[in-house]
Amino acid sequence: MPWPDLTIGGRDQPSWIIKPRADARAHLAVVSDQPTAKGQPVVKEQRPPPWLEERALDFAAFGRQLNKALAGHAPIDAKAWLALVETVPWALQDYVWRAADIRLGKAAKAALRRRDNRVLYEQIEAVRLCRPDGGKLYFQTPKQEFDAYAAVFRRFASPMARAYFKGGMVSLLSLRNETSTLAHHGEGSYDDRLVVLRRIGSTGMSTIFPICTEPGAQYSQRAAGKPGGGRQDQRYGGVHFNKIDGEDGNNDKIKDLGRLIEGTYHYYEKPNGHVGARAFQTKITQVVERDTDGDGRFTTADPNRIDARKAGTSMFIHQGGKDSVLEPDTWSAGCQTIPTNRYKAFLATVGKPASLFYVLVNAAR
Amino acid sequence: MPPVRKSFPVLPAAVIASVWSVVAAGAQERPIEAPPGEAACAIGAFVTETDPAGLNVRSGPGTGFGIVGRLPPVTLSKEIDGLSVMVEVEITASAKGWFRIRNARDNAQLTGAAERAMYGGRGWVSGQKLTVKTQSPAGRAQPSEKAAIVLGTETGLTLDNDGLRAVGRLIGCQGKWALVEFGPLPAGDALGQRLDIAPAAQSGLPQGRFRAWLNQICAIQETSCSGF
Repeated sequence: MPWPDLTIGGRDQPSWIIKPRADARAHLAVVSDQPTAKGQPVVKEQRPPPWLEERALDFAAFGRQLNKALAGHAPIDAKAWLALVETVPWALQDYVWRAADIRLGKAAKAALRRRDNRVLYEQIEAVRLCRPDGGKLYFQTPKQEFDAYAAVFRRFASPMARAYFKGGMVSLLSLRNETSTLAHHGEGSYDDRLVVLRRIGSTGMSTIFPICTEPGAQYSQRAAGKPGGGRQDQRYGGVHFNKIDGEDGNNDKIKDLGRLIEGTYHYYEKPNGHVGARAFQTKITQVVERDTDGDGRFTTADPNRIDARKAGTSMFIHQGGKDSVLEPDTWSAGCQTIPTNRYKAFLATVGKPASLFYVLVNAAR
Repeated sequence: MPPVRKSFPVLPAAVIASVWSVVAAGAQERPIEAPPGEAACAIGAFVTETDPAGLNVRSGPGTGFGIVGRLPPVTLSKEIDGLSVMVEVEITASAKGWFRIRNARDNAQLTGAAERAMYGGRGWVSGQKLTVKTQSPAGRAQPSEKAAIVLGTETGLTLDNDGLRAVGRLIGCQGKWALVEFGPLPAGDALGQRLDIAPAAQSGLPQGRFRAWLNQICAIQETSCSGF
């Protein structure tokens, strides 16, 4: 891999990520000028409008135009649409299709199933079936970023959360990257991404914060010492044990750590706060999955892993330890924690809503 | 056979009713009490002492017993601006408003500093300098899930927040339950307006104070507990 060209796209946007395929624009120009079939005239309605091709791709506009073209019942030039997506860096193309997917109406979806639209159908179907990327992405414009994460939010949120979002209410999207509870000496990791979204008219704002959505093994009974010395579970030897939390999910007399299952949660601000700052709590019992086999992972291999009752409403959103130190401590026994050094910015971004929807999605990585 | 109806004379019934009302009124005047004698329990608590000299740990439940050690006072966190961090203790018994403790320790994660030297053995401390954090949505008149609710809040919310913890004092404990006296809450407090306090929780106590038995005690200061 080449060294990043720091002169392109700013210090935080390495060139190999920000730059799309070198010949993508040239290819698009060629495709746009050719008729779809030999001897046939070029039909503009079959292709993306020229204004869409002029600058960095507007994901939302792409989705709307594709919907319009498909719903027009005329055959469309799939190659031209694909060539337009190619002008976007590879890592972002998934989000172009996600932005299109949520904008397709019934007529467009029906048209997609036609044999001549098979190439487009495959792209759309792929993003429907695959989870979004939870890694750090470098979008070409802020609107691309908003459109991309708004598409994920709208795809995974409950109907009520979508209605709130559409009405311009602040909404939270968390993309969870699976991490072992044993990682970082059991102190958790801020490796998940929290996106604060606010829709403003036809566009919106998105702000990204690090977040921890999984508990650290420092709160596991398995990491506690046993009377004869050593740990209750040998696998927890490297954990900086703190205190015991959790619930015995599989009746083996060991308390198991839990994490929120993915889904939509309606949070309210806790009166008088928590850990010295504002915090948020749901009013409905939360469903958690527990690491009942103690391997540090939350998988379907954990027997009796789903706990629909005992966690109550205990999975708050609150501040955790700083992430500006060598070994951050997330203070998460299952709560959604944001580093204390970024928490003020998070609260300022969120404002003071009466309530807010939080959509938690397990990311692809 | 039709049911037999018993008719009570009017005068004795009135006497019984008036005696009952006097007894009930007397009962309402008494605060919710801790169990008499020594009661065993297993909960985590926090030390609210602010005196720089610290909190005395004694060999028995009362000031007449000798001092066996000291616990450091509340300290300001270097990790989070303005956050007061308390010493954490395990409680194993209560008697006459005093609590037998063990394994006292600093929360270095929150203080952002090295753990302070302190007495880590067994001993007794006054409940006036101890508080707990509960994740229960309600406080009860007795240490039982079946007892009447005397302290509640909005549906879905729980009683664990910085405001209640700051004005709480431990009165007694039993098993996994703690009897806590709260108040007075600061005027115009956001939480106070959302609390539903039954007269039974306030009876026999000075204005603005109230008591309730709480379970689901969470011994972790920096986060919430997802199981009990």
